[in-house]
This record gives sequence, structure tokens and C-alpha cells, in this order.
Amino acid sequence: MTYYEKKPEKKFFEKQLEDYRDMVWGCARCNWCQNQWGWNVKSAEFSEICPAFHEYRIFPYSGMGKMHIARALIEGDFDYDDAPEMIDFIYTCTTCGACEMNCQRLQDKEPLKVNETLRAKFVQDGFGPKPEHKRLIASVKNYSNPWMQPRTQRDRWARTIKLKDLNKEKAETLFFVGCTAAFNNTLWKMAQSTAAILLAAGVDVGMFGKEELCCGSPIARIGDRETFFTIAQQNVKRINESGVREIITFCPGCYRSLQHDYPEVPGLEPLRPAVYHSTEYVARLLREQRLIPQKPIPLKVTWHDPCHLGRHCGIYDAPRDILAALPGIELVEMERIKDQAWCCGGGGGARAAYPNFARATAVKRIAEAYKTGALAIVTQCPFCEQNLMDGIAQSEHSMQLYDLSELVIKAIGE
Amino acid sequence: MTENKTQKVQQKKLPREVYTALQGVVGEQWIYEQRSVVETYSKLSIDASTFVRKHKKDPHILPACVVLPASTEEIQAIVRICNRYHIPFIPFTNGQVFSAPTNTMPTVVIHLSRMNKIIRIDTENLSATLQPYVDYGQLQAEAMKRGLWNGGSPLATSLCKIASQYSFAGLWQTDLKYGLLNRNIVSVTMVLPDGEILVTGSRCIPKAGDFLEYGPGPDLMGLLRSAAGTSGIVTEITVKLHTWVGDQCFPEIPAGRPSLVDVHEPKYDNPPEPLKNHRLYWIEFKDFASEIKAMRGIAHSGIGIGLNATGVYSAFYCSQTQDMTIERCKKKFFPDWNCYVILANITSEKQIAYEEKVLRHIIEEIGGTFLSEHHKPKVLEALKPWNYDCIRHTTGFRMNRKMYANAWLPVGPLENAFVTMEQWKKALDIFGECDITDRGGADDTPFVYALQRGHFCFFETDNYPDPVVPEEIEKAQAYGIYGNATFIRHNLGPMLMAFLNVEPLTTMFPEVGPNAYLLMRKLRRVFDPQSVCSPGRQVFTEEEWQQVPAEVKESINKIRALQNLPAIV
Amino acid sequence: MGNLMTLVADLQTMFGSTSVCADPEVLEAYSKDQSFVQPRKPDAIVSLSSTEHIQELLRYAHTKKVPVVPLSSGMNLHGATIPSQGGIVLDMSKMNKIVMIDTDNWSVVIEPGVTAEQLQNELAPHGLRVMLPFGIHPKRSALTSFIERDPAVAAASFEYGNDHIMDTELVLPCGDLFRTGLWSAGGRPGSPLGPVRAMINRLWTGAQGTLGIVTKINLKVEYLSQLRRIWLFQFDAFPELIEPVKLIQRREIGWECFVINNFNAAALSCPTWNVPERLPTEAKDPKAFLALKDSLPPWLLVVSLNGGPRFPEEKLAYEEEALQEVIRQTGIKRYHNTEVENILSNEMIRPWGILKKACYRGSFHDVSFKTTLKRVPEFQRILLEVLNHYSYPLQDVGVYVLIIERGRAVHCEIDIHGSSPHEGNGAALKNLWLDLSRCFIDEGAFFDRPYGAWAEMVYSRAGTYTEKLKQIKKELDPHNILNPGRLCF
Repeated sequence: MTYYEKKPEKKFFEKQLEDYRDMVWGCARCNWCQNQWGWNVKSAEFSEICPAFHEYRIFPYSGMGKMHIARALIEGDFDYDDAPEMIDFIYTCTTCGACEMNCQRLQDKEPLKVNETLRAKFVQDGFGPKPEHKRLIASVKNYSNPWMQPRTQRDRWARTIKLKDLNKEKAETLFFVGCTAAFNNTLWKMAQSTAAILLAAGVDVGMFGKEELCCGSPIARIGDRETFFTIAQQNVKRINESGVREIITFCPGCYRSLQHDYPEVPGLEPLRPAVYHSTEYVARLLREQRLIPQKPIPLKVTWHDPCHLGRHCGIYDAPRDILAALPGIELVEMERIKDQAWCCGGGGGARAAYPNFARATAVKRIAEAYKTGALAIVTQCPFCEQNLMDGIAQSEHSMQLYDLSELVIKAIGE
Repeated sequence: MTENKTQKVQQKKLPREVYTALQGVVGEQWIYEQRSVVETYSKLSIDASTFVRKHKKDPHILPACVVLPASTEEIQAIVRICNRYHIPFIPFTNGQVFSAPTNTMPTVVIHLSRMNKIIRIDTENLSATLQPYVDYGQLQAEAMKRGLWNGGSPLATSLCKIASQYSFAGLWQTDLKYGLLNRNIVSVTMVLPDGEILVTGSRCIPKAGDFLEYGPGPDLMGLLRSAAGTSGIVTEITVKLHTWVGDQCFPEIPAGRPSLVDVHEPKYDNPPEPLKNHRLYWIEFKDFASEIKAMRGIAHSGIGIGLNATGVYSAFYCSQTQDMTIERCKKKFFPDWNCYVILANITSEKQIAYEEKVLRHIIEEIGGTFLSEHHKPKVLEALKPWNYDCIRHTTGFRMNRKMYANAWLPVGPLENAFVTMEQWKKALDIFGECDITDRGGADDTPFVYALQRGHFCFFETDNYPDPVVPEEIEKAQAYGIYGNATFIRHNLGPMLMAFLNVEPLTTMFPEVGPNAYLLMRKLRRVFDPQSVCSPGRQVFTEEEWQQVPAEVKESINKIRALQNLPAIV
Repeated sequence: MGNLMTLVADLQTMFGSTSVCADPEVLEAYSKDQSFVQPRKPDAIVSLSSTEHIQELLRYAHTKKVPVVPLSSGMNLHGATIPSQGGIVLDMSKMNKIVMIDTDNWSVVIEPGVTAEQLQNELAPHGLRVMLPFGIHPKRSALTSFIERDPAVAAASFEYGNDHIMDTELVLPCGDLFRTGLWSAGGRPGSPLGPVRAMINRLWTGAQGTLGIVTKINLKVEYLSQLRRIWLFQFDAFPELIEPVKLIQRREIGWECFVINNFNAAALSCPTWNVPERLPTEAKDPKAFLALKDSLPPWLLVVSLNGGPRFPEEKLAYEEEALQEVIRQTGIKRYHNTEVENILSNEMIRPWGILKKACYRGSFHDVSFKTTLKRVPEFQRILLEVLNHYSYPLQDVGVYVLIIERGRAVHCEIDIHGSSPHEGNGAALKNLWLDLSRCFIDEGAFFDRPYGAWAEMVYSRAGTYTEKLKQIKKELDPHNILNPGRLCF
């Protein structure tokens, strides 16, 4: 059983580093945390899977390295004063989970959780996080978003869309747009398209607008458990009180947070509504023929699996089903897809503190996308889109980037 | 329990001038001496001694620094600096076992992770030239696109770097036809411990090309290989390629891909069929004698590319969690006496049909039952990871979930399997078990790899102690030493254990050779006159031997005495 | 003289007078062979049959700094046993026990004096055989042949035609006993790995007895197929066969695969010639040979299929079908000649018929090297140039090209024919042979067994490899007593 399913004696956010003692002693150095699952390797060029190790080539950047560092800290072999550089190793990690995917599959161990627990320890002990993360946390505390944007601007993206205001009305469905799409105006059209799709399908949908809170995912990833617990409590209360029956998130980070992180918060009341990501929801709408794509879009595309959507939560097929349903779209796959997808580089706080690394990771993904012969890379994750756009700007390869909703909205003629 | 938790462990750093000199070679970006960096190069995977030394907070195990060169020339420069300043160094790829833990302070780790290119794939002359960090998966992926492959992948994982396997290992699933990695090396370029660059095989003659592995004259490859990382640093290796008739890349498993939500569901490990033009057959036997007899018959028949008996090991590879492994071992889910055969249509599409006929003929003659939809279908279903693992072994390190601390890996004629079993049982009686799963080879077949048409085989039985219990690890180590003594006492050859044929077990078993350690010392003088490359690994110099603590010698002598071998002074 | 008498006396004391010979006529016989290596008489011949005695001899020689040249059968054609610096020739031809045939694990332990013919004959009743090289003399030491890496005819088969040596027992230059393989800890032999997982035995291969004397070897044997079929293909020019060979080898069809020119094919098939007892030999009437040569195609590609131990016909059936597919793909022409096919079929097991070629002029000098298949035409061009320079007719040259490991490499043997090298026109051929060797190595021919004059050519080019070999020699044989003057020692 995994973190997601098994109900061990402790929830994840209760665990301290010492709880992983047996696990970290037993790290087999098999290197699966750095490489694609053997059966899936199709080339030497795209055989590695850990962005940080791929870039820096030393072990502390890998899942295995974190396990070894954790072991040494647990045993008191050294401390923060002896190894101040540790902070960079644990935070130059997008928390993509590729290491844990393969390590779970092979070794039944959890290097990502070890790293996230290391982060929590660093924050707890006052040794972390990085200054950039501290600003981010302060922003969430003060503005309910990590982008240091005023709360009052949170609903600007939705001005052209007629979503119900759940602060005043009732609806069956909450569209939880998330901070990044709400505040990054280059991503507004993606959120708008998604909302428009739901409306076109006749979904009774509303939003919290300005009152929407950060889901807390960046905070959880950075390791500030205390702040995360507070945010989670606030969100659960608000959502449960709203009476909605289902939540559709636009951002996979929000999806993962609501679906899988909240249940691991000790003492937290469960979220009552079912949680969906917009891709799985839209795929269902298409299956039920509540959306009819008619307008052809002649375009060769490749799908980038956002880590939080795919590897963390298992939603691989829904976006592909959507693409298959759109006339004219030809999907060609990259080599590293689904559970073995290469991270965009944008998650886990890496982009905030190590922008060069985040960008370099994105550039590698663009190169991989380009090799497929596709003209466009398609995804649905605002973090991915943000970072991949930076990657495209830096890359020698020219590619377009689409949010999946943009293609759907075109296809259904809205 | 680890000794004093408040006691810190610090590495001894390099003298500044040495550090500066190394930095001058690789650039400041590629040299590290930070405490948390060197930590990740200090506890190896399979080497029990590093675990024990970690528990004891032994600072010798920490390298002084890690350097990452990008070329043969940089490596040569680093090695020359180490020689000049008498600083030991260790070549490092993964850190499983084939590099050494450090023994002296300070030691430089030369990490080869930047040298990860496939330099060329020569489809004309059936070879591939690789940098040292290229792994089996990468090589296979590239070669298979071209209708070729390297002939196998190691048991533990397909992620082994070929160059480091060169230093010690390289057993595959398909040794029946392709032999070990031994058989599949064309040449190496090696920076020797004295800083010279050695090229072996035909490539050492200008214009000759890189196609022949021997000579000229006496062949040095045999000395360099299996020197446990002490013969130098491989900077290029050329390996043989063979015809590949399977899929260019592994087909997707129909169940799809796992996620962190459901990663432990067996369905994701179940390729329904082996790769194109390959077929796998599992056969169960009523007892060990029939199993060995059948394996001999199959090996001698000339059919197949792979022939192995897996026993309890399938409980690891085919089980997604440790709990599942333990349960299956307890319930004896997998057949005690078994083997599997891999057939392939290399010459013709009719080859498998012929070879299957031969296989069935042999089994009918000797007795055995094929696993099928009519006989143990659930077991056959559970064995499906082998459909891909037999070519690119990916699940292998599931056996290392605890700690793969000790392996008895004798090699020899097939009948030695009986002795292996018998002696393993005795060892379990003497020392006690580490974990339930290490009864493999006592109550069921040891892992038997039929090598090279059955001329000789490897057998394997293992311990998996709890890594947080140092007494368990030491027990596992004792098994290893006892194994050496056992096989010498029973005149069954040197125990080719993966992890313990390093000092002091070379010098303390002079029966091997005899006095192989003296010859190895001479050879060490040739290649490593300054004793700087992985010192204390393969063989001690006389001076190093004198420094071995008396209690170490005593403890080994005690175990020798269990097999009535005289004490070594 | 005083020293010599002491030497002989010492040896007689140690081993008995019947084991020691200093008769000048006998010494003369050991002073030369059919190679161009300068003859030199030894001081004494010692004939020994036990490892212990050999140890004793080497301890003595080490102390007295007397050279020792090991000789197993005297059938080396390349001067490896000429005592170039005098000393003792250790004759092991009477050490000829087949110590053990392991019919379960398919291996055989032999001593140096066991000949190729003896070994093959002894294995046959067990349904087994060893993989011998083309042109091995029936009286050649099988052990030496394997230790010297004579390439087996079946070298094209990765698994059956290569890597035959398992364990060895040897005596180091100082007289110490050493074993490799499973044998390295005593007991019984049974694997090539050991000590530890080392393939350390490879150090003593290709060494011409300079680093130790191998006194026993455990060899792989294979099943003696009861059903064999030879397919011959004819070509006018060598380049034409390159692609077909690649196709055949990529599909791993058959075991043995090699190319011979019409000279060698005719020599092999000539009914009026026989395999000489010793070399050099007497030249014989070439009429039948020449007629045969003219009737044969310029080049023959030989592919040999071996039926399996079970259902041999069915194995042959699918292999032959595969060959037919290659024929269709490439349009190559099969050559039917039952007599030649039968001769070749026998040759796969008893591959000495080709030695009849010596009857052409009494002696021959091969230039043997390794290269890659597609480079063979390059060396052909060089051959032509050199032959023209020496006005040596191309039609008097025998060529044998052996495919190795499915086409990764080839072994080439180019024979220049002449009478005994020490008289007649034999000496004149030396320059031709030397020049040819030099031209080849300049263009990258790999002499992996650098006999005689090839040693200097090879080791002057091999850089660090040469240096390390010398250092190893110094460690193992500080007084350079074992076969001095060979290789780079």
C-alpha cells in the first residue's frame, strides 16, 4: 500500500525523519531514482528521470542522496553547521516524484517523502526554507496566494465568464481555479477556456472568486507543515460549508493537495465533495456527449504529463482520451510519459529558488517534445505551462504550447 | 544500535594544494568536499562492511572529496596528482559494490557520472563503444533500434554501468548462450593507477581498429577485469553486440502504467508475452535432482538463450512489496524446484518450434511439468515480470529491500549445486538466519544460472539482514567468510562471492592459487606501484597486511577453524 | 663447456639420464623449425612428464639463470620453441595423459603432450569433440594450440567456437605451482573463473611459454554432431562475398564459416598429396593439384551446419531454409561438389587435411593476422603489390579467411610457398614474407600472436601495453629464463 492508500499508524504529515530510519538505512543505491524504469527506456538520450541529478551529476541531488543525508542526520553523523550546503540539495528538487515512483515499485521505499520530511525538519529547526520560499509563505499567509498579488485581483481572470459566485449562491460544482492561473494573466485564457467548457456542457458550476484560498500545495512541498495545516483547515471548512457536491480543480497541484495531502493532515475533517481534475471531468463530459467536438484542428501535438496529475494521482488516460476525441489532432508521444514523465522543472519550490535549474529542466523537456515531430506541446497545469513557456523561450527548438482546454474550446466551437 | 548518536563523523579533508590542483583539472564546479556530498559516496549498497563501519561511525569510510572528470585526459591528470601527493583514489559509478569504500584518509572519489555517452555503435563490426557511466538499459535501447543487443543484463538491475561491472561482475539471464560480460568485452581504455593509459586488444595497434579482445600476445584483459576496481579507471569500453530479433522497444503492458496511487498492483508488472520472437517456459520438478538433470539436458541440447532456476528469488522479483515477498516465501507460493528457459527465433521463425519440441522431449524423458493454464496458472501469472526481465532485468533489486549483505556465489559444474545447498543449510544452522527469505537454497533450489551451454554454472544463496541491526550484518559477513572456508575445505573452488573477495580475505585464504595473493601483489606493483587505487581492496601490500588489526585476523581464523583450516599468521 | 657439462650432469642427477639428452644430432633437430626464426641449438633437452619435475626444473633454472624453452609437440610452425638464447628445451611430448573426460559437464583435462588427433579420437566414442583450428597438425599439442589461441574453425559461432579454456594448472617461472579457474583452490577443475572472478588465465595465452608453463588445461568439449552438412558458395572476387557472409552470420546460421581460395581448396582436396608427418617436408608432384585448382572457383565460402543432439534433421531443416532465404535475397551461387563437401565435412572434426598444401613446395610461410571482414580487400591489394615487387605469382598463394564471432572480426592466413627456409629458395622468401608482414601491420593488420619477427613490429607499436607486459615479465621471471627472446622479452 502506498502513502495514498495505506493507513499506517501515522499520517504523512505526522511523521518525523526518525520514522524513516529503517527505510533510509536500506537504500539500495539501485539508481532507479535517477533513471527511467528499465522496461520503458527507448533511448540513451532520454533514459534519465531525475532533473536535478541529470543537471548536477552528484548524488545528493538524487532521491538516493536524500536518503543517505537523512540517515546521517538521524544518526547524528553531522548537523546543519557541518553541512550548510544541504539546503540546496533538498530544495533543488521539483518533488516530481519520479524517484519515488520507481523506488516504490522496486524497493517499496519513499525517497520523495523522505525529502519532504527533511524539508519539514529544516523548517521546524529554523534551518530552512530558502529566503525565496519564505517570501512565498509570507505571501500565502498575507494574500492567500504565493505570488504576492492582492486578494482583490484573484477573480479578474473570470470577468468574461459567467460563473456563479459561491459566496452568494449555491451550485453543484466548485471550480477551484488555483492561484497560478488566477494571477498569471498569460494563463487566464486556459482557466477561461476550462470554465467555458464546463458551462457549455451545462455544468452547474461556481467559484469562490476573490475568496478562494490557496490550496496550500506550495507550502506543503516547501515543508512548512504548520502553515499548511492552517490553510487546509480553512479550505475544508469553507468548502464543506459551501454545499457543493463536487470540486473541479484546474491546477493538478491543487488536485493533489485536496485529494491526497488533506487526508494526511492529522485531525483534519475530511473534505465532503468529490474532487476531480478538469481533464478527467471533461473526458467524462465528452464520453457522455455533453460536449461535441466538431471543428477540426489539424495539429500534431505531444502531451506533457504534469507530475501532480499523472505520476502522483494516476490521471494519464483522460487527457489522451480528450485529444483522441478532437478531430484533426494527431498525438505523438514522447519517450518519457505517464509514470516516467520528465518533469517540467516548475514544481516543489524549485522555480522560485533555482530559476536557472527550473528553466534548464524545461529546455530538456522541450527538446524531447521537439524530437517527436510535434508542432505543439499540450498540457494542463499552470506550473508546467509557466515553466515550459520559459523553456521554449530559452530553447533552440521552436514549439507552441497549448493548454488542453484551448484545444477543446476550439473544437467544440465556443 | 548505532554507536553514540551524538558522536559526529567528519572526513579528513585534502591538503589545500591537492584540492587546488584537482580543482584546476576539473574546474570548481566539478569538485566537492562538502560534508553532505561525501556522505552520499560512503555507504555502499551491497558491501556489508560499509554498513558495519557506518554503525561504528568510522570516519575512514568518508572520502575527502568527490571529483567529476569529463574525459580520459582529465582522469589521467587527477590520477597523476594523486600519485604525486600519495593520495588514494577510488573510481566510482553507482556505489553498489564494485567501487570500494575508502579505507584510508584522505581518499579522493572519482565519480564518472559525467562520462555517460555511447560513443559509437558499430553495426558493421557488431560492437558498441561506451563511456563508463553508460548502463545496460541505455545500451540495449540504442542497440535494439538497430537490430542488435549486448546479449543480456545483470540480475540485480538493468542500471548497472557496464564499465563498473567490468571490474568485477556481469552475470546475465542469458548466459547460456552469451556467457558473462567476460565474454563480451572487446577492449578497454583504462587510466592505470600509475597514470599511464592502457588500451587493450586490437585497438592498441595504430590503424588496426577495435574488434579483437586478445593480445597482442599475453592478454592483459584477464588481469584488469575482476580486479575489484584496483586496476585503474575504465574510460572507454567496447562491448560485443549480437543479433537482436525482438521488439525495438518494449511494448506497453496492457494494464497501463502505475501511479503513486496504485504502484503496488501486480498488473503493472505483467507483460502478457515475452518480447517478439522470444518465448519463456517455466518447468517444475519433483526434486532437486530432476531439476539439475533437466537443466543439464537442456544446456547440452543446444537450445535456448537462457536457462536458470530461480526458486525463492522469484518471490522477490515478482512481488511488489516486501510483505508480499515474505508471505510468498512462507507459503512456498513458487515451486521449490524449477527452471525457466528462454527460446528465440534468431535464425528462423521455425527455430522456437524446433527448440520447443526438443525441450518437451527432454522434460518428458526426465520428468517435469510445464507451468501452464492447466498447471499452476496463478503461479505462471505471477511470474510474468520475467517475460521482460529475462532480457532487461528491471525488478532485480527487489531482493535488496532489506540489505543484500552476503551472497554465496560458487561457480562450477552443475552438481556443485547440491553441495551449495547442503553447506548453506549447515551455515544456517551454525550462524542462524538473518531473515526468513534467506532460506532460499536450503529448502528450495538455489539460484542456478546455467552458463555457456552448461559447462559451468553459478549458484547463489543470500542473506538479507536488517541494515539497522549491526549484529545481523556481522552475522551475514561471517557467512561469507565461512563460505570461503567451506568451499576450500570441500575442494570445490574459491567462493566467488560478489562482495567479500577483497582483503583481508585474499591474503587469509592462501589456499587459493595457491598463494594467489603473492601473485596479485606482484601484479599490483606493476599497475599500482604507489598503492593509490582502491587500496586494501583486492590485495594488501605486505605493509598494509601488517597493519591489519589482530582481532580481524583472529575472527577470520576462528571461522577458518570451523572448517578445520589452519590459522593464518 | 665446463658450465654445459655441469648443467647436463645436474639435470641427469635430478631427472635421470634417460630424461636428459645432449646428443648434438638431437640438439640439431630441436634447433630449427619451418619458420624463418634463426636456428639455434639448445644446450640440452630434458624430457619430463610430471608437474613436480617441471617445478623442480624451473627452480633450478631460476637459480642458475639458465633459459628454459617449453615444447609440447614441436609442431609450432612459427619458431616459438627455437631456443634463441640457448639453454634447456623442456620436451613435454611424453606428458600426454588425458587426465579426465567429464561427460557430464563436457570438459576434458589434458597434458601438454596430448595431440590434436589423440584428443579427438578419445572424445569421439563419448559423442564429444573439441573445436580445433583449421590446419592444426594432428601431432600438434592440443594444449598448446588452445593456449596459443589458434582460432577454431567454428570461430564464427560465438558460443561454440571461442573461449574454450576453463581451468589451467601451470608452473610459474620461479617454480611455483599455480592454478586458475575453479581449480585455483585445489579440488577439481570446472570453470574458467578464478581466483575470485578473474580470467587471469588469459595472461598465459598467446605467451609462447614466457610467463609460465601450462601443465594441464581443462577444456570445453562439445557434442559431436552425427549430422553435418556443408554448403559451398562460389565467388569470383572476395568483395562479392562480404554482404552474403554478413547476412548469414546475422542470422547465426551454422557453426563453421570460412573462405578459402582455390589454392587451398585444391590442396585440401588433392588425392595425390597427404598430410606430412613433419614440416618442412618433401615437395610432391603438383599435377593433380594444379588441375584441381583450375577447376575450382577462385573463392569458396564454406558454411557448415551441425544437427543438434536431438532431432538433428529438423535443426538442419530450418537452418537450410534460412540459407535458401539468403540465397534468394543475394543471388549468390551455390557450388555443388560432393567430394569437396565430404572432405570439408571431415575437416570440421579433423582439420588437418589442409596441411597437404605443404606438398606444393615442401614448406610454407603464413602471414596470419586479424582484421575486419570489410578490410580484407584492402589487404588483398597490398598483397598484390608486394607480390609484384618480388615477382611472386599470385596463383601460388593460399588464402584462408575465417569468420570470427558472427562477423565481428576475421582471421586471415596468407601462405607463401617455398622449400625449407634454411635452404634453396626458402631463404629468398624471407624478405617477401617480412615485407608483406610490415606492409600489413603498417595498414593496421593485427598480429595478435606475434611470433618471430612479428614481435618487434607489434610491440614497437603497442606503447603502454608493451611496457606493462615487460613489467609483468620482470615480476614473474626476474631472470628472464622462460623462452627469452620471444615477444617483447
